[in-house]
Amino acid sequence: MAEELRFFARTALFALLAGIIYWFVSYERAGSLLFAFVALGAGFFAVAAWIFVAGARGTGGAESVGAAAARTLGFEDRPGDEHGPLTVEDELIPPASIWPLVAAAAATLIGVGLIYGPWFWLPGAALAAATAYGWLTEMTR
Amino acid sequence: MSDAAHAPRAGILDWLTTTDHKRIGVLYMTMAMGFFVLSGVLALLMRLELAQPGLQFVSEQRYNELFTMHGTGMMFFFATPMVIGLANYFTPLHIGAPDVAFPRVNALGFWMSLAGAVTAFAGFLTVTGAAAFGWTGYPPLSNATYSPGAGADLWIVGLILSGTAGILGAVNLIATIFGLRAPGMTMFRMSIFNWNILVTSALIMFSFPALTAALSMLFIDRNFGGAFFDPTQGGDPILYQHLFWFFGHPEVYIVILPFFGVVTEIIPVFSRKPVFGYRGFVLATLLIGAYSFSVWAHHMFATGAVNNPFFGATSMLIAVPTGIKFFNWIATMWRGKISFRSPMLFCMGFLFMFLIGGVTGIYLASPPIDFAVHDTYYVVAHFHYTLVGGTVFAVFAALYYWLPKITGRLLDERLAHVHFWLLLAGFNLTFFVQFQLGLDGMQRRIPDYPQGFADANLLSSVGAALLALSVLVFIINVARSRSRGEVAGDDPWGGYTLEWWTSSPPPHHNFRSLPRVRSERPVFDAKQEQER
Repeated sequence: MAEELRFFARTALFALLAGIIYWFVSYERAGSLLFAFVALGAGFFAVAAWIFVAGARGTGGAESVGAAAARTLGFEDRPGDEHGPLTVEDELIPPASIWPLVAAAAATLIGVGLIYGPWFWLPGAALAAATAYGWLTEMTR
Repeated sequence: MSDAAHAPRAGILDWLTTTDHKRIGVLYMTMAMGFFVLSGVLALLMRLELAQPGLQFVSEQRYNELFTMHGTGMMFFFATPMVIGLANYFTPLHIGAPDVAFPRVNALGFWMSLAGAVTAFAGFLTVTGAAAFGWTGYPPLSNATYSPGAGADLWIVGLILSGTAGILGAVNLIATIFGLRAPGMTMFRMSIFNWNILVTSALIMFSFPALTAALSMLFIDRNFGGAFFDPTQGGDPILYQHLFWFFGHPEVYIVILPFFGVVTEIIPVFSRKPVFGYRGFVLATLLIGAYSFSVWAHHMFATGAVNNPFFGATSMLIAVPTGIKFFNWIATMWRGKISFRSPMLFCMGFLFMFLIGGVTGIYLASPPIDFAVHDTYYVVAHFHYTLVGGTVFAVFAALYYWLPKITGRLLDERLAHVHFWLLLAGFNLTFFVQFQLGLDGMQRRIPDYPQGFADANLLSSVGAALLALSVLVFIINVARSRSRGEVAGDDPWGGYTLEWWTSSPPPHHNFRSLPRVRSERPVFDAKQEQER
């Protein structure tokens, strides 16, 4: 199992165990749910990473799952990790773009508009729409 | 896309539209230092008021605004952006990548972070003033009845914006580390700095949503008739504390773990030895990250609404991996050829000051002791030894170590030493006496106090002035180095990690070539090979 995957698997396992212990010593709902959310979130990323890695290597199935589970707490690189199991091959770096700045301005105006009213959130919404169009157009160009 | 299209330019529009991780890193660091100075000025105003008993310069309301915005500024708009700024600049360089995984999202994160900071501080411009309920924003103090006015709402919106920016940054850094490592750069050949950034990013990803949720609920309570935290309508103010501290305690590690990484990069280089116990460092980092999620309610011992033994035990447990790191740092230096250049000097300051912060934290992890000193200056002193003694010393270590890579010029060593000793003296004078003030019962967050606390408070205020002077020396040093600093060259320190393989400052896509990566010290290996 790749370290990228184990990283999230360990996090999920820790949050799950800590959450179970916490529930039985406190019966406190907010903290127990927060532990559960971390376990679920980390578990989701672990499963997503596993699917990605298995897909990339053309492996999977019951044997891999079993082997992966056995090595969940392992603590070293695997042979064959030289290129990183999640390595992105296509190094496409985008050029400069005004849209991140405009998007941040839009989010700020909408947020401040919740306090001061439509004089702020209306232009914010217009900028958000412009951003959505401009950013997507730029990405697909 | 041709290389010319990506070539760096220097106009203002180029900075506003940049997607280059290095420029965004510089923007983050500049923003962080700006808010460090601004929040520091707020602290100076507080210390000026506290230099004598009685009210001299500010009203009680204004004092409340000062400590609220000081804490907010330092935690959210200095420490966190500094972490993300350093990570932005150096994570891709350390793993041999040309940029981060999502450059546009990276830029969005920075602009949202800056917009959040400006929004939160804009409260000072409103009729009712800025938020005045402490950086924790506990209801009922922060509800519409006790904190009316737009300043509090701007604080909430600002923090939601910057929190969202933090999540964007964290996702980006995790994707970069997992997806863009150079051939040969396995996870266990990554720098310890990058391991700390990885764990920090996971902490941000899993803890910041709790803050966003808490603040959104508070905003709804204040503006749209909600009752999440109003017990008269079935709400629960303790729920806010759970949500806030589920973010808030990992946040402490979010702003310290990366600097554990910084120190772990610097100490081996200036001891001329490999890092002692690489895997121990990684394991300790993972453990600290995990434990940091299980200690949040030690901030809530005094509520009587949490399981104190559970949180006392987990809080003490976190000292174990931290102890592993201290042991490894000392073992790395042991019998090394130590050179006390400015980065190493600040690392030494970090080790001693953070140790005091850590040890006093173990006392506070004990509920009976916490009951006795809760909300006193003892907690203020502990917290500042952790986050000024830890984070700020390590920030300066990082800047002295890496600014030559960023600007291409070295900082002046004499001024750096003056800066260090002034900071060390000023910091200890400011905060050490506060342990005693706290033990004697002086409460925090008050602008006035009995005559018996006057001498210690005056000393603390003199210390704060020295501390401010030390920062001024640093600013002069940076300004001076821009025009008169010695040219750094590619590798002024004999560094081990990949950023020292490329030019200072690095070219647009970072590397013209990469050495073969066979260990966590690829540049050291390559130079050894060249010498043979």
